[in-house]
Amino acid sequence: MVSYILRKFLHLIPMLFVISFLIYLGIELMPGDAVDFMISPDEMATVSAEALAQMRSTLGLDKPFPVRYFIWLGNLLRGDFGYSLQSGVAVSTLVMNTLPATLELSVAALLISTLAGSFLGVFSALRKNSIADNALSIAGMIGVAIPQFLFGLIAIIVFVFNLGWFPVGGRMAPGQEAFLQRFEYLVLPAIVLGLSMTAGVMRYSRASMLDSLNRDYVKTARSKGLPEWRVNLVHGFRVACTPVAVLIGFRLPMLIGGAVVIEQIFQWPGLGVMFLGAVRSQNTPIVMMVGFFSVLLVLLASIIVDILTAILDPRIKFN
Amino acid sequence: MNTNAAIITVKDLNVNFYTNQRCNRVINGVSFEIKRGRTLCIVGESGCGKSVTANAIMQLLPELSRIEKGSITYHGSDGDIRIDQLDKNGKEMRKLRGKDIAIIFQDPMTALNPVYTVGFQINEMLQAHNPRMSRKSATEKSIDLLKDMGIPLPEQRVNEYPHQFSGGMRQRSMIAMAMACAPRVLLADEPTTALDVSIQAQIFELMEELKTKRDTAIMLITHDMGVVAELADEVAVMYMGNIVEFGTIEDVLNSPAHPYTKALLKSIPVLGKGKTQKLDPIRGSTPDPFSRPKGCQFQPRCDYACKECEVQMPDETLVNGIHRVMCFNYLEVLENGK
Repeated sequence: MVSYILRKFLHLIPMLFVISFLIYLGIELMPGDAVDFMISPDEMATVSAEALAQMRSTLGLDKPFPVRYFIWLGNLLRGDFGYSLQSGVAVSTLVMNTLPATLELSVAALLISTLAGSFLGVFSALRKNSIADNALSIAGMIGVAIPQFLFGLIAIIVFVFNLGWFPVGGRMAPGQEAFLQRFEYLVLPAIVLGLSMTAGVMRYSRASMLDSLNRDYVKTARSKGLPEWRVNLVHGFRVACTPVAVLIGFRLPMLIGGAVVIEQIFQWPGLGVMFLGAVRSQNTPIVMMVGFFSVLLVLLASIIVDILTAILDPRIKFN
Repeated sequence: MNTNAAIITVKDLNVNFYTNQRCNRVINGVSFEIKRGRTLCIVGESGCGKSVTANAIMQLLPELSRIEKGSITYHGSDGDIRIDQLDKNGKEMRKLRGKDIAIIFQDPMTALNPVYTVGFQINEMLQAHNPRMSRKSATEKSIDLLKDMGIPLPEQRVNEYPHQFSGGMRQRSMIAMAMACAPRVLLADEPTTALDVSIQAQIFELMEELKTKRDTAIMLITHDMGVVAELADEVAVMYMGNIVEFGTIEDVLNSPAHPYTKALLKSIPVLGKGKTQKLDPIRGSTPDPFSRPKGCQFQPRCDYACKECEVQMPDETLVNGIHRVMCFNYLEVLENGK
């Protein structure tokens, strides 16, 4: 098992290399560069060509694209993530300031969607064709189909402005940093972010559960005289949860992607807000850093899924 | 209690399936007894209601189906229990399942849960009926059971998963599980259909042993006449939800009184007659359960059919002893010999 995981990690390296190059290429292909965004259009007319060239060479933008990529890569390997082109603040500092907020939001959404999704899915499967099951199926379809930002706006109108249950946005009030004090800020964005995934997990675990309940081993379990809860959960759900775990693992990156949008709506001071700003102003070091981490996360998620399925299903062997 | 005492009595059992808003009368008045230390074989082609009968006894019928009429009585040590009147997954039914009546299914590949060890699944059976049994003593008992069923290295095998077992070993573990609580009745629903011939023989040897050593009553469902000849004490031949002929093994094999039984016996290829031997298949095919023939269900395919057969299903007639048949022209069939 250890050698399997090590091998998986070794496979990461070439993938990270190729993908980081593609991201870098993507930024390069965008028209203009960071300098164009630092100077306002009004000033642009008065700045001399020499001054612009001077700025570019200080920022290292005058070198050809492949050279710049390898400089970035070399710095990365030495643990230097670079500095923001605009503010000059170290990228690692910027990320460290915003990453916890994003992680908090994503983990909360993940927990909500996993727990609520599988509970509702199993409930729905056990009450197949009942009114509750049909209602949940419709709700699930709506949840999957409607985009998150719409849910976010509706949630703000209903729960913030009409009912006044939650604060409008942000992550905490000044001076109130304990988790319990800022919990009310987390609730709404976490639910909205988790909603579509909850719907997905629910639909999937319902289907998986129904499939499992139709198998012979469930009948065997019943023929042993086991109580119904044991037949359904210990035998039915235990087998049904493997594909659900795989689904959740592969949706993990989507959660981070969704966070970018939700953070905008709820003014959540996370990675997403910073990332969008950096893309617009072609702040290469920041875009690269966030992109690099997202890719790493996606690849790690797939390794976690592999390990998880091998643990959940004894028929699957490592390697 | 005398040795031939019935443990389960099924009387005039009717089971209906309600699918696609249509009603399929799967079993129409089936009666028989399962006796201690005896093997009752139920034979018939696919879809004739063999498995449904076994599942009805265990109250394991699928959704949208129910026992319409008739009774299933379990003659327990503390009095009779009407199984058909028990709550499907209620406490009393659960107490019977596994402890008094156990069942083995057709396909051992799917009947065991793939994510639990074989030992866990046998322990579950033991602990369900002996709540005070510790996990350790349950595992010891499981090892003994596996050993009894002829599984080598049971101490190691008990901690392995079903996929690490071969088909025959899985079916033997299923039997070990079924026999864990020493049930009085074993229902075997085509236990060897999914296994190859040499393994079949081993499984049947095991079942013979259970019958003779532990006095277990066995109901064996099969469509293999060879198996019937080998194992059965009594035989019930089913066709389209009726037991068309019932009798001792000698009655049914040597002097079949129903044209269907006779045709079944004639359609079996005989080993040693060579590949040029002429087989006598039954003409036509099994009717669609939703558009059944009028009168006798076998009438469109029957060589002995007469006008009366098209009007109504014949009643059961006693031939002699326990040999009974559902045919108007059984005397003619009997006269014709084998």
